[in-house]
Amino acid sequence: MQSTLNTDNIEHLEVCHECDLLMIGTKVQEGYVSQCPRCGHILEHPTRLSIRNNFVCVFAGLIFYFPAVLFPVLQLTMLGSTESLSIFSCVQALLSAGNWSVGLVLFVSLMLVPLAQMMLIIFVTTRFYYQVKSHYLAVCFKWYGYLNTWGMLDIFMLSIIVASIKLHEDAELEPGLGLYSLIALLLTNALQTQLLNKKLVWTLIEKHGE
Amino acid sequence: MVNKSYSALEQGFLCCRQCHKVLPYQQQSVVLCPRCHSKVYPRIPNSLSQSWALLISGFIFYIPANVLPIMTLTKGGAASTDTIMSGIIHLAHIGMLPIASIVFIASILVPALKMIALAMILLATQFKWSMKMKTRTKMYRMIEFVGRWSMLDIFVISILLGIVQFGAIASVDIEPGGLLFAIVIILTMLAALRFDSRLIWDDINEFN
Repeated sequence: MQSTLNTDNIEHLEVCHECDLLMIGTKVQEGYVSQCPRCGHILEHPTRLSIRNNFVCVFAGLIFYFPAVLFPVLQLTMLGSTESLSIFSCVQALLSAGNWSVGLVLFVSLMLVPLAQMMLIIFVTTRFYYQVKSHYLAVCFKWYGYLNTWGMLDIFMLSIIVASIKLHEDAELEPGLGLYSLIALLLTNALQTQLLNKKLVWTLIEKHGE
Repeated sequence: MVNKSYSALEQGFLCCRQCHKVLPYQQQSVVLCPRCHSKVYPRIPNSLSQSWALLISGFIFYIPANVLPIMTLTKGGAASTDTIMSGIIHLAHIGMLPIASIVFIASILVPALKMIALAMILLATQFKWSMKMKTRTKMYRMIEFVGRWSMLDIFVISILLGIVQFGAIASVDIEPGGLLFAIVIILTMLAALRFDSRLIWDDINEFN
């Protein structure tokens, strides 16, 4: 840490948004990570072809999204009759049983937020790729950030495991096609968030967003 | 630390919370970020009181959420209601100790520890306790990361309700405790979001 800081050129300055430390920004090489020296927050982790790879990941995720939501994740056979459960039918069952509040929580966190996030990223990355200017870029990427904590598909995955262990003593369970799609969706989503370089996106938004 | 470290605010700069753009600050009342068009405040206004309010209401809901039953399972005419804890005990009884401990950690331990830790961070920030800043930041990051995983139990009972639809043979109902538990988790997640982590570091130069 320097004892004096040259604050003449605002373009060179960088602030850690977790602890408000003022620094001179440095260019980070691809594959390296820059950390705040005071609180250890990761400031930037640039990757090669970040924008394009993000588009690819989200596009793949979008293909897996609909089977993951609509196809059965579990099939249960109990006393000769078979039932199957998809995320969509789970929300439907909750709503028709009168549990609209829990149903709404599931609808938002399992269906709405993941889809909305993917659409927002697709919108932003395609605008960059085709060099189209748009007013909505900043709003879209801001909303992507807001929604980040509220998508809960990964937790749903763990709860499938817990639920199947609760059920397996008195019923026969089989994984459905939806489960494999869900796993694929989770993997592409994890890869996408790992590859996303927010700082680069914001500098590009400054350039393209009039 | 020997050298004084520079807070951006003291040096006359603001950092946009959404897009992290550095902006000059001359004590204007409202600063609009030119890049993402959101309002930029030096610190989130009333961050501590908002966080306290959400945390305390979360704590009030936490007690009935744990005492009241979260679901009723009707199997062959016999109904059994489960609270969160009795569900975990049942899991442990059928020999699923690892899963039982996962559910215990996610739905009993984490919410309780999270609320205590957040209260400690808030108290330490408000009354300028000499608790290590790095520890506080680490705790805050853990709270943010771990908070959503408590939704596990809500999803489990929803899956059970969705899949067990054999009419007369078996059925699952969600009791009020389930909804209260979801409210606790959402409230504590919001409390963690409303807390401005920069407040932790604001009085760093006073201790050194």
